Amino acid sequence: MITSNKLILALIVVFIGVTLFTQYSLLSQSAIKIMGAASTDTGTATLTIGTAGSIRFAVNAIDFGSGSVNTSSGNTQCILDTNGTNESSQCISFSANTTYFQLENDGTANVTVQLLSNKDASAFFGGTATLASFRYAVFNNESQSCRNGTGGTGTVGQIGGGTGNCTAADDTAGNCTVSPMGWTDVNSTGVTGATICQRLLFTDLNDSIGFDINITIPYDAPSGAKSATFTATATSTT
Amino acid sequence: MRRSTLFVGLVILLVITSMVTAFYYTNKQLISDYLDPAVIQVITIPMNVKVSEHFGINTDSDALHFGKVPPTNEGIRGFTINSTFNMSVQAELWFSGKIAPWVSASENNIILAPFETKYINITVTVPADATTGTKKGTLHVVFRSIP
Repeated sequence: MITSNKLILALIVVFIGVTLFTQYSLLSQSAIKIMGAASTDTGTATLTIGTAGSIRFAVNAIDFGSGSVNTSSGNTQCILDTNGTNESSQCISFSANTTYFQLENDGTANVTVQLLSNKDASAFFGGTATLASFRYAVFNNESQSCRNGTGGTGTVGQIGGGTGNCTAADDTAGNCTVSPMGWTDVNSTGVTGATICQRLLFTDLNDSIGFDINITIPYDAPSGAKSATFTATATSTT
Repeated sequence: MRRSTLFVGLVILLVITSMVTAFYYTNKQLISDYLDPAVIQVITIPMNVKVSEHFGINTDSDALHFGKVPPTNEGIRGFTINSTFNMSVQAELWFSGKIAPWVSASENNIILAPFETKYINITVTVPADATTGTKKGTLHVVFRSIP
């Protein structure tokens, strides 16, 4: 009986020893691999994280509810926007909405921001193309968050009277801060879309822009849920 | 040997065996990579996303920061793989951590010719039921020689 007990004890000790050794061995060996050291003399690989980032989001995050164009009063369009526009004489049953999109620079470098929609008005709503529109306007959500190409706080639009948009020429010259400042058709062409801010700062109290959307629904738009997707792309800048 | 001693020994054995088993299953892919003789290099990159009400972009390049992303929306970051191997290699991407199930790559099991460079996008899709706060994970890039 004593011999049997000693044998069991010895087996337990051996088991524990082997288990601990195996665990130590696996841990230490995999740790070497985790460090990413090259284990070959024929070359190595490196990974470089890009200095651009994107956010992709659905327009249906803004909920106007459901409804229709009030054609019985002779209307052919219904205009809604995130400034609360919901004209009851044009629109039936839609909800007023004042929720806009906020975009913040969450990093530690200034960025240039571009915005792209995957659909224009016609693709978004259907119906008579000339009656439909899908527009947006950009603003500083926190004061002076968006600077122009030289870091200044003025925009061509504001200097010129406060209501105009930054033109393509202004944009090229680096004179724009937020753009466009007035309702403008969404950009649905290209890879990254239109520049909406030349230099979005990263400092916490001045790092946020916003944009509103304005939609014009034609009376003959096919019924059903409508969806479009925006992609905001930011690229590090000085 | 007293029964109490035997019992304690068996409990210790059970605990250690459980620890090893748990370690194995939580690090199965890492162990598999290590044991694979074709693996020639492994690189890891930390990832994080802040689940938030608003959108935020972070272009810092010390990690794959996806910024602030509300539920049901997507954050995208990319990186360049630069191979200086003088042979073709395959790069396998896999993810671990809290956000692993939310993350996908534009391409995987990438074949890189000698000295080739490729750009890969990584997308995080925040699920509808995600709670607010910073969620983390790790991207593992495993390089294997191609026979």
